Amino acid sequence: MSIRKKLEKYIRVYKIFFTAYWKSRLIYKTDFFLGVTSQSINLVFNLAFLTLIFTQVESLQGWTFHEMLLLAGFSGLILNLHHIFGFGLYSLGETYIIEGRLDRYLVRPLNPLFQVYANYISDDNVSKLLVNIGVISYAVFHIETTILTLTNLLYAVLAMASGVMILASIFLAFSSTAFWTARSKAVFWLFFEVSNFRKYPYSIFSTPIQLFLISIIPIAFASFFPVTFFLGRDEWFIWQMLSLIIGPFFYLISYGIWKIGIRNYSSTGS
Amino acid sequence: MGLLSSVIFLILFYFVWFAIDQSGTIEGGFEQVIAYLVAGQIVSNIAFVETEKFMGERVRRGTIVNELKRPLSLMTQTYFHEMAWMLFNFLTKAVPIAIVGVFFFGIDMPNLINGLFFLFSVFLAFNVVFLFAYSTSMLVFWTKVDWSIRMMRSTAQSLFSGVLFPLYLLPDTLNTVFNLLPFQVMVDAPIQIFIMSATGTEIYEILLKQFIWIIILYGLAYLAWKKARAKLTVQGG
Repeated sequence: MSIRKKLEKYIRVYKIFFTAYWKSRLIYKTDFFLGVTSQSINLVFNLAFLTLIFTQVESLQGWTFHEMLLLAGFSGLILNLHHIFGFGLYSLGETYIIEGRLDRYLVRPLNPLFQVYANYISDDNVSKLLVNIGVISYAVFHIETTILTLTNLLYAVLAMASGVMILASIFLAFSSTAFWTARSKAVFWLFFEVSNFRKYPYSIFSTPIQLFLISIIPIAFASFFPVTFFLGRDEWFIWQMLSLIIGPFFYLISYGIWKIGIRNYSSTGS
Repeated sequence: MGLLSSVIFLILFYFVWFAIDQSGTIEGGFEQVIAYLVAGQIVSNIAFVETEKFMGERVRRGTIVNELKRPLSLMTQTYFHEMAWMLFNFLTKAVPIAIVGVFFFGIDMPNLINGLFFLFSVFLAFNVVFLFAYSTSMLVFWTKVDWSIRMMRSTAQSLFSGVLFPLYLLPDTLNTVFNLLPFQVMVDAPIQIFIMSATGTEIYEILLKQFIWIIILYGLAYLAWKKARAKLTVQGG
């Protein structure tokens, strides 16, 4: 089969998965609406914390309130974009390996990873995404330097694409541990805790933490470095450029881990 | 929040407050903020119990009839279920965090009197959290889902109680508002005893305020349960 035909087939299958997901989701309307509301409230409360910090200082190591809103908003946007389509991996151990669903995926003539992705849409993140777009717009409007330039927009698109791949690579690597342990949810606590670091300027952390944020959980490439580009901070130039190309690189490494995992996989036999 | 989660949380906010300290002046100083945040982790790991999941599982599966058959009220049964968790968290999380706090963040422990009053105040805080969570978890009887309710409650709880932000640093008007909410006695109140900013009769005032909230929230929880009991539908069997 040619690559084009293959791609068309995958898009067609994804659409079917997508509609099936929404149909099953909207049966439980209360759950859906409560989930959407609570996630949005959660995000607004998190931002409220930022306003409390700025009752203490004018700027945090040279970062104003609105600049930090942009940082929280833009990195949040990348996170939401990834989570909408990629969050299924979070329960790889619990939902797919232990319950034996992965066995079904392995015998189908489709990439098993694709099926795990296609099986789950994180709709809560759609509402968060909208809130984050609002946050970014508010921040862009209030920051004195002009953010809305053609270069910045072009950079933003590329940085988002690369950033989503960085998050996907983190998720893929973390969840692949389930091939050995049959559990994946538990290892994600590290990611969820560390992902809060993305909302603060990278420069406030000590060197070991900075190294951690560009290697094991390389979230700085999907938050801090791109945002310094929008704000015209040239001292981070190399990192800003690296942020655009490093996503696919990390994803390839993670896909390698996934491949090794799936080769070692033996069914739990349920 | 587990032990390691608390440690990562403290590392993050150590650097955030260090940066704030360098960019301006913090009332009471940097060390006091760190002591406050460490104490906040100790208190919240002990007192922050969650009853929504307990209730949600039983309501969805209909097994809540088992609890209702017993000669003890549902509230009593839930209370002791959560108390067991509280004691477990005290030993496995709060004590290690206190040790980490002393050795790695260099905080001072309170003197013996404040230490004992602190433990008592944390116990009262546990009661406040329990009654509050019990009231909100009655909503599960209508919604049948628990995680979104739990999430909304716990987000509000961490922002207003002092876990995330030392309440003494708030601007005056905000401080007044925060002090009128039940969340203040969940975390901020015991912390004041821990960091020795409350001594003597101030301690009694704090404990009295906690007692008053326990009485109010007990009334609320009781009313909520009355409403919920009338609503109860057992699904399946």
